[in-house]
Formats: sequence, structure tokens, C-alpha cells
Amino acid sequence: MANEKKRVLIVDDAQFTRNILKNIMSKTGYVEIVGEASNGKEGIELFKKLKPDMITMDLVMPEKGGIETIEEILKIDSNALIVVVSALGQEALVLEAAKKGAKDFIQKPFKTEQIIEVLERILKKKAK
Amino acid sequence: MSVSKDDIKLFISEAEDLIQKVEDEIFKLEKDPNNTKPIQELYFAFHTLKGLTAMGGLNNASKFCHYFESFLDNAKDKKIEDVKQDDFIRLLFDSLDLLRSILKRVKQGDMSDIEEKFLNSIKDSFEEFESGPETDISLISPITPENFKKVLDDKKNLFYKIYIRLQPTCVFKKVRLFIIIRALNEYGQIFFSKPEPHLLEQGDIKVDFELYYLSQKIDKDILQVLDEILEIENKVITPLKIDEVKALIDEDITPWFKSDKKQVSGSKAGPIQRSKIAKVQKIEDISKIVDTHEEDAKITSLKVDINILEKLMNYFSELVINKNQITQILKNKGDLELIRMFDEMDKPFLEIQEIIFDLKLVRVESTFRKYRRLVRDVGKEVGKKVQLILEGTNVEIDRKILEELNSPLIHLLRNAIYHGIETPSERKKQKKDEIGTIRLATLRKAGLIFIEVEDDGEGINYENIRKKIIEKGMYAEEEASNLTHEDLNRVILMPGFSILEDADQISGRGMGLAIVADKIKQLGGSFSIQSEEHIGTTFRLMVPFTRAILSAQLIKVAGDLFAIPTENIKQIYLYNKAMVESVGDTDYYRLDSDLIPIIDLNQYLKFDENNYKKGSDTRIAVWVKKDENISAIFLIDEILQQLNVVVKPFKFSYSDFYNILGSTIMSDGSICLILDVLSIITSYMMDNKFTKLTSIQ
Repeated sequence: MANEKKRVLIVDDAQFTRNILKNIMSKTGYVEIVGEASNGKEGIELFKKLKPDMITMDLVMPEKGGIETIEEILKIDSNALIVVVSALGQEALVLEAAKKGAKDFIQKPFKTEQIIEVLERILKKKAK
Repeated sequence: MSVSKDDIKLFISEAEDLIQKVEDEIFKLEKDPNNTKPIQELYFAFHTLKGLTAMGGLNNASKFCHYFESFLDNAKDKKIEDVKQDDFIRLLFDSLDLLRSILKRVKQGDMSDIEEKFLNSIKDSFEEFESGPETDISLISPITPENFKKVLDDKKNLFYKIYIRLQPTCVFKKVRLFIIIRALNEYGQIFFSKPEPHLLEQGDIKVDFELYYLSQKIDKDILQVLDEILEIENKVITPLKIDEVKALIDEDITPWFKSDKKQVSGSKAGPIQRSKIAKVQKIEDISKIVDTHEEDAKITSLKVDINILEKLMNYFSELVINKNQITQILKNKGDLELIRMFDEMDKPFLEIQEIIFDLKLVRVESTFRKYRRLVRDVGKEVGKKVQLILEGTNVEIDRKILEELNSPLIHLLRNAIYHGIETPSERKKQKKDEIGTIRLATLRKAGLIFIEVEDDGEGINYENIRKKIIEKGMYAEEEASNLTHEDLNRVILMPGFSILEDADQISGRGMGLAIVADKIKQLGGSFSIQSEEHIGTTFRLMVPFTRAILSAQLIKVAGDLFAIPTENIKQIYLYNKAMVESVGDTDYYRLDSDLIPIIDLNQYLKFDENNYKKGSDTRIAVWVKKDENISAIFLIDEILQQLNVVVKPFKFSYSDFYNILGSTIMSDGSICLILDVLSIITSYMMDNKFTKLTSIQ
């Protein structure tokens, strides 16, 4: 059991944000970052390949935006667990993402505890 | 990547087409909201615009179009709710204005993008359409006394009150509430809330709220559902007894539900109006940077200042007159060499004239199309339904005159909406179509532009006008009662007359009908009114279509000087009586195998019969031909020289009757009338003065 880490895919066009997310999550000991994508298109490819337990999703990205990406990922797997990581002031977009089926959301800039809360509340509970 | 001038030109012309397309489709959509075709077309137009603007480096503009595209994509298959239709159309129109303003900047060489804040406004506006109270109500379905019994039939149903307090740091309350409600509805149904559902769904809460929940799950399971959601600081689940639910239905839900249905004051009306206001303000943000209708009508596609063109035209006109005068003097002196040299100047003169002429002409369409929008907006303003029908939009007119016509026409259109078109309920009463119609028709005839602004509204109440002019002391009672409707029409156009005492929107704008009439007069035109009570009013404007130079053939008829546009003349013959063949009442002139109807100008202009007979032996036959249908031989007495003349509008009331194109001042200072020979032929045909030729080959 201890070895069975939760597998997370990070989709965000900013390397900086990806690094922070990665650091926080890896330190918990029970999360493994299995992939990083810098746009929606890559995100979808990696999702198909990796079948992660959770995806963190930026909304505004080149190539393919978050909303579209969420839609496509849920088409592939309607149970996919997507947590939106949005910038402030994007309430309309975040609501759209929620309506498309995103599980929950957090805002940038986020604190370590918030990420931990996401993992605790959403990821851990996913265990069947 | 550098963008060449040609690329930009192409960009502008493509964008213009698309924007026009968008406008056309909005009008279609507004007319027939149930039709999904315009939405489909708008979707494609915005899609193409998105790509175009992106290629042009206008990234925000592209995003802007993208929002439309994706919204329309969703809306394609479903009808937009009636309640929101108006706001949606308004959003479309305002966005159209925004796109136009960008295009205008691009035309001026400014490739700057849409400001970010408009992007956010538009996004939020769409948000309002997509998650307005109507759609969200489904998230909370209130239990009514009627379906309460059914709910009770299922013994497994349990009732809960769920108290939730969000973390004070929660910013996106609307999204948070959406996620909470969505999660709970997966295992049951929220049937009421405090604050009441409409407030809750708008995100209108502080930090805590209560949900009333119906589910077959036990409270522990419900807690677990909520456990998976972020930003919840505290949650308390209390089971409710059936009596408590009943009390809630009677005391809270039913009153709320009823107030909601009536859409009156109650708790529901307040917040909805508030959110509406917020929405309207957002849209107004967008409107702020776009042009007003007046500004819009300026024709900007010409790179040269229109005033410079006008100056050029005026100097050229003077030059033409001077040249004619010099030629006349040289002829008197008999200096053949100089005369020949001056004649050689005719060709470049003509060329220049044609160029100027072309530059000055523009289709009325460019300006008149914009009035559809004006009519719509003004109609909305005063709660009337009005449509504008445009006729003759391909008529060409001098740019300057078209611009000058803009404000009088706007005034007449406003006037028709304010005073002509009745309210929808009044129209219903009168068994008229709820939607009033204003017809803006343009016709070019006899060197003049005729414009009619016709409405199918109230018509002028002449009795009221009689009363008003007596009250105002303009006429004595007896005098006034003798005035015919036509007299009264003229009175309306008198300065100082206004049907309405107070400065309303119209007089407040400082332009009564008198000013319209005055403006038209300044343009060398005329203005008249025709009205019938309960049927409608027609305003007729007549203006010259240009103040141009014309190549004219001078002729003499019964000793008087006239001119015919040279371009209308096909051939000139010495009149030979033997060529005349009579069919019925009409004389025809035989030219080879053709029979051409004869119009005797001496008769047409109703000159002295004797004079006509006397001169008949040595007459001239001028063949005027436009096409197979418009063709005639004009009989005249004398043919003189050809000249470039400056056409001045001819202002006598019978000029229309005689088909006079205009007048020109001769080198000796005398006035010569220019005959519109094509219109003379047309009027002969319309009066059936020509015997039908079809029977005789």
C-alpha cells in the first residue's frame, strides 16, 4: 500500500507553476508526478498514455485551452479527476470549467496547505 | 512577419464583408428569434473573423471573436430564451460596434488591439447568458404542496437541513456554490435554501448558508460528499421532521415560489433586476468606446479629405466656365488658331471631370444601412417595435450631399418612430401589424434624388394642428378652419411650429421639421409631407444628386435655348418629313428598318402652335437612346455647339413635371435649362403616349 503512490499529471504552460506544484506534491510522499504538459494538446496525449489519478489543469494556455482540454479528457474518461488551477479574476472561465465537469478548483497564487487540502480531500478519497 | 500594404487592404476588405454579414444576420435573428440559421451563420462569420484577426496580429480581437464562436456553437442547437433574447441581440450589436471601431483604427493605420478589459466584459456577459437564474433554477427545485405528497409516498426519502460556512478566503463563491450544489444533487435534490435559491445561485451570500435537502442517503454519507469539496470551513447536517418540512413549505417555499412566478416585487424581483443592471452596465462599457450613429454615417473609406475634393470640384467648375467664356470671345474675334487650341483642351477637361465625378459618387446604401440599427435602437428606447425597409439602396449620390442628408434623415426617422409608429398594443387595437414599418426609398430621376420616409403609423392629426396654431396665435380660428391639409402641411414646416409643447427628444435635439425643410432647401432640394390619419405619413425629399459638370448639346426650341446631355445623344439628323410614319396617334421616324417614336419638343414644352408649324420645314431630329426600350427622336428647331456646363439644381416647382435636369449659366450670364431627355421618354411611355409597336413588327 505504501508504495502505491497517487499518480498526478500537471497541465500548465508556465514551467514555474509546474515546478511549484511538483515540489509541493512530491514532498507529501504519496504523490508521484507522472507527467507535465505545457498545453492542452500535450495534456490530452499524456492523459491517454498515463491514465493518471488526478490532473491539475491551467485554463489559459496556447494550442488548446483548459476548457476544451477538460471536455476532451472527460470524453475519454468521464471519471477523470480534474482540478482547475486558475488565475484570479477568471470566475467565468472557472465556472465554465466546473460546468464542463472539473471536479474542483484552486486559485493562483496558491499556498502549500491548499494543495495539500486538494490532495487530502480529492485525491485520497478516490481510493476505491 | 511584416505585413504589406496590400495585405492590410485585403484584411480590411475581408473584415468589412464579415462584419457586414454579422450585422445582416443579427437583423435576421432579431426578426425571427426561433430561426437557428442566423446563429449558425453568425457562428461561421465569427469563426472566420477569429482567424482573420489572429492573422492580423490582433490577438485580443481574435479572442473576442472566439468567445462569440464558442458561445454560438453552444447556442446553435438550442433557442436562446425569450427573456434574454433582447439582451443577447444588444450584446451582439454592441460587439459589432466594437469590431467596427477596431476596423476603423486599422484603416487609419493603427493596428492596436482590443483592450483586455473588454475581453473580460464580454466573457462575463456570456456568463450571464449561460448561467442566468433561469438555467440555474433547475439546480434547486422547490417542493410545492402538490408534489410534497408524492415525495412523502416514498418512505425512503429523508429531509435535511445542511448548514455550510465557506472559508472567508473563498473568492469564486458562485463556482463554489455550483460545485457544492452539483455534488449534493448527485445523491438527492436540494429543494430550498436560505438565502433563497435565486440569491444563492447568483453567488449572493456572505460566507454561510443553509440548504434544504432531500435524499435517500444517511447523513454520514452526505458529509462524505461534502468532505471532498474545497473551501468549506464548517458544515452541519440536521435531519428534518416531516412537520418541519411542511412548515417550511407553507411559510417560506410557497410564498417565494409564488412571488417568483408573478415576477413582481417579492424577494425574487429585486436581485434579478440588480443582476440585469450589472449586465447592462457591462455591455455599456463596451459601447462606450464605439461611435455614435451620427459619427458612423461619415464615409471614411476615402483617403482624401472630402472637403479638398469639394474644393477641387469648385475650382474645376470655375475653370470650365472661364474656358467657355474665352472660347466665346475668341469666336467673336474670329481667332481660329486659338479656338482650335482651346478645343483640344476639351479632352483632358472631360477626363478630369469624369474622375472627379466618380470620386464624388457613392451608393446611398453605405449610409442608409446604418439606419436599420438606429431605427431599432430608437424603437427599443421608446418601447415600440419598428422595422426599416430600404429601397433603392444602389442609387448613387454625391458624397457630400449624402452626408448632408444624414442628419435630416435621422431626424425624420426618429420623428416617424416617436410620433408616427404607435405602441404595439395600440397597433393591435387598430388591427395593424404589431411591428411598425418605416420605408426609406430612394429613387434617382431627372438629375434629382427622391427620398421617401414613409411610416404606417398614426398619421398627422390635422385637427390637433388646427387647435395648436389657433392656441399659438399663428392663425385666427376662422382662418385656421379654412386651411386644407396641404396648407397645414406647410404650416408644420414653418419655423417655430412644434406639435409638442414641451421640449421632448425631438425639439430637444434642436431640429424640428422646419429645420429639416430648411436643410433640404440649402441643398437645392425640396421637402413635402403627405399624411393620412391612422394610415401613415410620408416625407418626401428631393435633392440634386450632384453639382457636377456635364457635357451638353445646346439646342434651340421655338427661339429658346436648352441643353441636352451629350451622353444621351446617339445621332443627329436633318429632319426629313418623308421618313415619318404614323401608327395610331403616334408618329415614328424610320431609320433603316427601325421605327423610332417621335417627341416634338416644341409640343412637349407647350410652345406656341404657330411658331412650331412655321419652323417645321428645317427642323432637326435628335436620336436619344439609352437602350432598346428608351429610345426616341426629339424634334428641335436648331442645333448649336457642345459645351461643358456646370449643372446647378433647378428649383422651380414644375421642373419635375417638365423633366428638367438642372440649369446652367451661360458665358453671357443667361440661364439655360438642361432637359432630362431620358426621363421625358420614360414619362411619355408611362402616359402611354406611344402606341405599342409590337403589333407592327
